Amino acid sequence: MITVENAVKDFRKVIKQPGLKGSVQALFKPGYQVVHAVNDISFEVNKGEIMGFIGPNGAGKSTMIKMLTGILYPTSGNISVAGYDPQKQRQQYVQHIGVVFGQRTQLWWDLPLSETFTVLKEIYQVERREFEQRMGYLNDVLDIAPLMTSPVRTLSLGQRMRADLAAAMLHRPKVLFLDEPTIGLDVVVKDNIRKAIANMNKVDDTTIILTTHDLADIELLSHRIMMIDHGKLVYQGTLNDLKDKYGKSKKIEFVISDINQPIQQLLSDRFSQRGIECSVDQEKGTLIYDRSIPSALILKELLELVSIKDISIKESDVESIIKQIYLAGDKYE
Amino acid sequence: MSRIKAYIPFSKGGFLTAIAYRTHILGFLVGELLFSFIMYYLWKTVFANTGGTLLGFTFSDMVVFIFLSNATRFLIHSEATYTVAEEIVEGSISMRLIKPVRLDLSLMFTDLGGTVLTFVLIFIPMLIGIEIYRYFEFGVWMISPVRILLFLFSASFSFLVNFYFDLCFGFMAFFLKNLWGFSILKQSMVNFLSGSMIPLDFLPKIFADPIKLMPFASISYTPVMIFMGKYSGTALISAVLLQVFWVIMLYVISSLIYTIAKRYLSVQGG
Repeated sequence: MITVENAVKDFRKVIKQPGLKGSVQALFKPGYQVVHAVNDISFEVNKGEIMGFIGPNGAGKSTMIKMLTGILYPTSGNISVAGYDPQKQRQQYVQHIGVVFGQRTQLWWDLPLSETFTVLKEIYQVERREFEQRMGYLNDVLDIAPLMTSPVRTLSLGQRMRADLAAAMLHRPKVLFLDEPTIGLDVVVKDNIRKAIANMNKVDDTTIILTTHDLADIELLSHRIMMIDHGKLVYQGTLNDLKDKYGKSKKIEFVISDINQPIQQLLSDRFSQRGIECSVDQEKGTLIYDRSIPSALILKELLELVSIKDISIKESDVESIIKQIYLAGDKYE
Repeated sequence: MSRIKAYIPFSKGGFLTAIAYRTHILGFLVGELLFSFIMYYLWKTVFANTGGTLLGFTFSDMVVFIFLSNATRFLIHSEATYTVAEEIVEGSISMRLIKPVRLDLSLMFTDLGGTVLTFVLIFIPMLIGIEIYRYFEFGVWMISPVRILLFLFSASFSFLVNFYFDLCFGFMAFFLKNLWGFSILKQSMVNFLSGSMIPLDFLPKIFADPIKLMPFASISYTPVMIFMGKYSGTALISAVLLQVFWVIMLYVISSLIYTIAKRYLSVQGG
């Protein structure tokens, strides 16, 4: 459905020296710096797949989405979506896609919401029967009927996002692009939006590309993720693969009942040679070990060694894995 | 053009926006009317010292010229430069580009929505005013439906010339990011060279003739001269043909600029 080959997008950024001198200098002889917003990215997405882009701010996710939607021209490389060249055939191409930019709206600000849908019906040339049927479906998943008579500017952010999503889906797009669809929303609204997205993916077999900073979006929706950092693709695959690859360790946290024992010493003697990290701070202790070692075994040894009040076992979560990768990326700068 | 229906909502939007800013329009109207009266008294003084006619213009010609030029300027007004520039500065151009419509036509139909309003609110009253003035001046009704129709015919080309000229400037925003100073330059150029301030015939021939061939004359001078009966027969036909020529030229130029400009687009702010 989507093929991207060696996409590159360079921007020219004006550099200004600080102060009056710098401003005057920039007026006569502006300095430029080339920024590689997207630097040689290739990937493919299949029909019906939900693909999530993640990456730190300024990594190039939005630039990638803007190239995929035909707004920006790649500096080099090839992009093909649903058989179209998004840039060269923009007008025909966009008939088949839906786009939601979380930080913008395509709704008509001063008019009642219903007006936006009438306008979109004309622009996308949706037949009347199809329009009514479609509005019925969108109302089922996004509950927009109660908003129809309100001017868009009076809607809350959550209501607006529901309406924007419905607006993007009216013409049954083959591919739906969502740039931070849950930004700034509360937990309940986020949950509803995610359910709606999953439903639309299932019902119409819509291919969905989304970018987000909220890892729950990724965990609950995406079949596959791509991690972009400094314009480069640093990881692509499923979330489970990511966990296997980077989340190698598990962690036991415990609370010690008798802190008079030399516990640090005891633990180090027992575990350190086996590559298990131990640390004790007052009554709290932690053990970090490779997930190949059975937790039960370590637990048994630990209980024999020290008397313990409370205990918990944790797998490394996606958030900390991703933080780890982002930080590693920064080091290369 | 078969999909003209898809563009009607843009006109509706332009119309509604124009209505939403009706106080803005009213303020503009009062300002322009004041300006017209200043011009009126200025030229009145000039004519008082020339003994009736000046370079083929009588004073009543001049009055018609002043008020009709201003009304025409309103009628063909385009927001294209301003809209494109603003959408680029704040990045909302993305929302326009993801719609299956042509950029130029969507902007043009938005302008047309506003034109409907200015036609009713400004142009028709101004035309009635002019006819009443002429009635009192000459003692007979001078209304000529043919002239009015010819005026409107020519004015629609004026609209297109002005629109595509404006669009060429608007696309500059793709390179320059911010168009404010540039668009002021454009507006003063248009105001002077289009002959809506001073009849082009008043300029020395050596300037007037080349200026008349430029697209600016096609913007407002031609329809006004047609209304006033200064152009007729072959002069009229060649003036309109020149307008058509400029519509085509500016359309081609704006398309060329856009073809290059779109590669330079960098959406600002997210």
